[in-house]
Amino acid sequence: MGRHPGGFFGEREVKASRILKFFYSRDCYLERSGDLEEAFADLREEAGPFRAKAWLWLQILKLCLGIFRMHILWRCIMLKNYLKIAFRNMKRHKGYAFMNTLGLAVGMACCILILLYVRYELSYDRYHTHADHTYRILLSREGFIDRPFAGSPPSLASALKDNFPEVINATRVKNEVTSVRYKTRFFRENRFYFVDPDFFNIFDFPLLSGNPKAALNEPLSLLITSDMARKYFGNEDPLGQVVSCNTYGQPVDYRITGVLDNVLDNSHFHFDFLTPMSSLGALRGEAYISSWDNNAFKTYLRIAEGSSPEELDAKVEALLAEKIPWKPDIALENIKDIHLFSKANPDMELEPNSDVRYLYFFSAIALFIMLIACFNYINLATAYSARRAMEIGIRKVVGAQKGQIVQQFFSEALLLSLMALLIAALLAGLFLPTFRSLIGSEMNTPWTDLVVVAGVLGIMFFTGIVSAVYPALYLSSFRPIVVLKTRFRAGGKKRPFFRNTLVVFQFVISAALIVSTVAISKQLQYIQNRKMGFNKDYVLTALIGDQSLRKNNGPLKRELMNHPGILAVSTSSGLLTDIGWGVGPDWEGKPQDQNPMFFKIGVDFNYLDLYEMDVMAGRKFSREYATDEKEAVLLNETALGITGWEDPIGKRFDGGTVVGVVKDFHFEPLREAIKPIFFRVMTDNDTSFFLSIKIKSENIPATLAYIDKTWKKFSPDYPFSYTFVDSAIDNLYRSEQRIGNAFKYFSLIAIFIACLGLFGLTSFTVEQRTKEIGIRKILGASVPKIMVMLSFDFAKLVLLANILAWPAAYYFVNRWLEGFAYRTALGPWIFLITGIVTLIIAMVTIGLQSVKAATANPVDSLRYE
Amino acid sequence: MTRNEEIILLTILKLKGNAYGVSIRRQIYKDMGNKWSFASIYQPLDNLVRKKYVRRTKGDPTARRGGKSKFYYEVTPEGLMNLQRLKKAHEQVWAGIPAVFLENGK
Repeated sequence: MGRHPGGFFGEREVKASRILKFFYSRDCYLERSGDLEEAFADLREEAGPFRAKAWLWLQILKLCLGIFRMHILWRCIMLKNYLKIAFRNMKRHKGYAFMNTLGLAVGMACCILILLYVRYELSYDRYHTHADHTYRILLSREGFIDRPFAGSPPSLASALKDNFPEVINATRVKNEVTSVRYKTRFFRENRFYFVDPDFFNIFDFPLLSGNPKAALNEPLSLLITSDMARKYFGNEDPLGQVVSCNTYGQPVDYRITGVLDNVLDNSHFHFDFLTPMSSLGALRGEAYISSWDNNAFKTYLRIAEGSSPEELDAKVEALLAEKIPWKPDIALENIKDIHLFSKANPDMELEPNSDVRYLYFFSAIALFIMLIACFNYINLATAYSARRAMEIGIRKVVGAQKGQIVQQFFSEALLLSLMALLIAALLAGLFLPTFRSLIGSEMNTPWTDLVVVAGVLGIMFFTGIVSAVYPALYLSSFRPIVVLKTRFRAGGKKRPFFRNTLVVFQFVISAALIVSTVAISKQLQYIQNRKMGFNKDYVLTALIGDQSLRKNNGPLKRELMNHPGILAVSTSSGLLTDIGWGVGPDWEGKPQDQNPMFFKIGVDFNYLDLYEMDVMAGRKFSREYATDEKEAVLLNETALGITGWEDPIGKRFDGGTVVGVVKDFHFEPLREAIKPIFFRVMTDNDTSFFLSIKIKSENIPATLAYIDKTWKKFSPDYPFSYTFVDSAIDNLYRSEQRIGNAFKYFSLIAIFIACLGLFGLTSFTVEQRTKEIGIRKILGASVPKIMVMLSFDFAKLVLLANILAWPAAYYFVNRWLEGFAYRTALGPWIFLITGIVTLIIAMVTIGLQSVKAATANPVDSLRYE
Repeated sequence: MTRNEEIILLTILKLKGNAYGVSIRRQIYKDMGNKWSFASIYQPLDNLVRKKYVRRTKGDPTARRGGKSKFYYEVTPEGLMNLQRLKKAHEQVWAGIPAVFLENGK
């Protein structure tokens, strides 16, 4: 409301009177500011404008003080009283307060941990200044590779910059395993990155020392992270030092021109060494890094603010279509989406990503656990409401309004949740390391992070309010006459339906979690026990970095075989856990319009024997056939199915002749259906990258020492580093194992909190029925009979909860299982066992209380009557 | 009923239909000789309205008030009854106090 034309208030007075608007209703404000203005006008005529203004301010101040006294001061005084009463009640009923606080605290601790986790996962790659406008290129080829992968031809980056003005910066990224040597320090490095100078214009990776402008300009210059500086140089200054790096078989000297800060954990890739792309040109030839016919490079680009990635997408597609022989399908993916929302094939990623579904999933579990804890509070507060009935009656008689009683119970619940929060923070801090390894996330979000602090406070208020609404409304509706006149038995018989509903809900969640836990661990067991189609035990693999050794590996193999602990040695182009080679071969009678992808692996003659793979038709490769080396092809069953041959032996395939069919085996995680694959013979070949060694189960350390010694003799430039095949396979299922473990703990917590509540409710029932039990015992009831009577009511609820939980759990577990091409069957026994287990847990909880009641001497319970 | 509420209630009665914030305050000044702040008028007034001893009605806006409405107050029968009861109680308590004390008080 502005200044009225006929009014007496100037601008400042109008502003001053507006303060009142905050406190008063519209009518009240009109009245009061009108009165003030009129009196102000009178006074101004009487005593002049200066005194009138001073008077006005004083009046407004006094009005505000009065409002403060009325509305805030008294509330604070009442609040003090509420809290005092709340504390007294807690002291008087310690067990009750303890159960409530503990349940809420455990629930809150889960929520806090999940909050930290979600916050951390969402923070990935957001710290780069240009993160909003930084994209990477995903490529797919219709009908050949349907799932896009993070790869593109090396020439694409510069072509994009030249052709499209909206592309401000573009860089290629390529990671190569490299052996790095400085004096005596010699390690195999997995995170050796080749990048373009634009890398630093796109990403923010702070340089600790060295010249940022010149850092990536010179070929064979090297930037290292501070961890690497410590690893190789200790206290020496790494700047200007020369290290020898061996990427493709030839050690090459690099000069260190700068030290970078370590890459933050919440980044979708981590490098230890950075060198300009020109180094790669020097190593493998200019043609390799300026070609259009390989997709081994990742392309990142920063586009101008306001330009649309969708439009650019189509343009890039058109550009690329001119350069390559097939029709590409391009997608630009923002770097902030890579960690959680990536559509790309995980096999081609620099590092494994997470999935946003985990976030939803863990948040839902945290919410459910929190609800179970809140329901405990609601149930116990209403059950024990008789204790507070007298107090509420007196308060009402003395003049408390219903709203004030509601306020009282809200402040009580908030007090309790504040106490629970303190314990929860302690618990969360204590279990953070466990949770970190459980969930496989670094989670180093600082506690002082504003969103986290706000979230934690939010959790507290949510808990307080959700648990207080119903008890507050229920308790405040007591009528003083009823409460004070008779011996009031609130919550006794009248409200069991509502409470029972909540108990059922708690056990539905607990039972569903337990069913899921059992089903998941059953699937994990299934994965463990499933016949892979090859023997993975006691086989280790190592990458042969040395090119000349790959081309002539016979002597190494022979020398290894001299050791009695080594049973077989073979080489191959890929690993059974990571074939990494896909081709579109020709075969006899191949339809013109189809070009399906086959995996290809080049192997030594004894490879199939080493892995104990079975041939179902024809024969394995053999040195006895002179033509095998150049000609022989082995298909797996799936590949045979694609060719459609009745009798494959002797047919032409990929320029060779099929000599046999291998039984299907799992070379990808069980999530995937078995794909077509074929074997070719490749001994002493440039692509004989991997050495497989089968060893005896006895005396493994000695065997490993021997292998290491022999390796050093043949391949002095490459440190020996190996992986056991079975652990590599286990690694494929790490995320499933994490889910399984997380489920285990969360379902334990859920059932624990639900049982806390059940325990409280039982003790309430027992307390209520003390006299009844006493009379029954006098009339001859036995202890077991009374226990059955007391337990039956709750047992019914738990059973009902189980039956409700089964379809829900079945639905979700089934959806999870659908992610596996090979999965276990969900038999009815899972559900039955879960039902029995929850029932037993519940019965034990109830039994603790009812035994006490049933064995009590009736003399004690009846003597006051 | 507090003493302030009593004073305000009597003043409203005295003003006979012209009782609103400013006029009430002016009348109190005339009768008692001290200027009350608006805050100390509104607080008892609000209480009286809440207890339904007085009724509040919206009047017309005037220019002197910056175009804002006056709100008039009038005593309800309930308020009147309570006032009478209070007066009776006062008289009973005061009755029998010797006149000497009253003279000395002045």
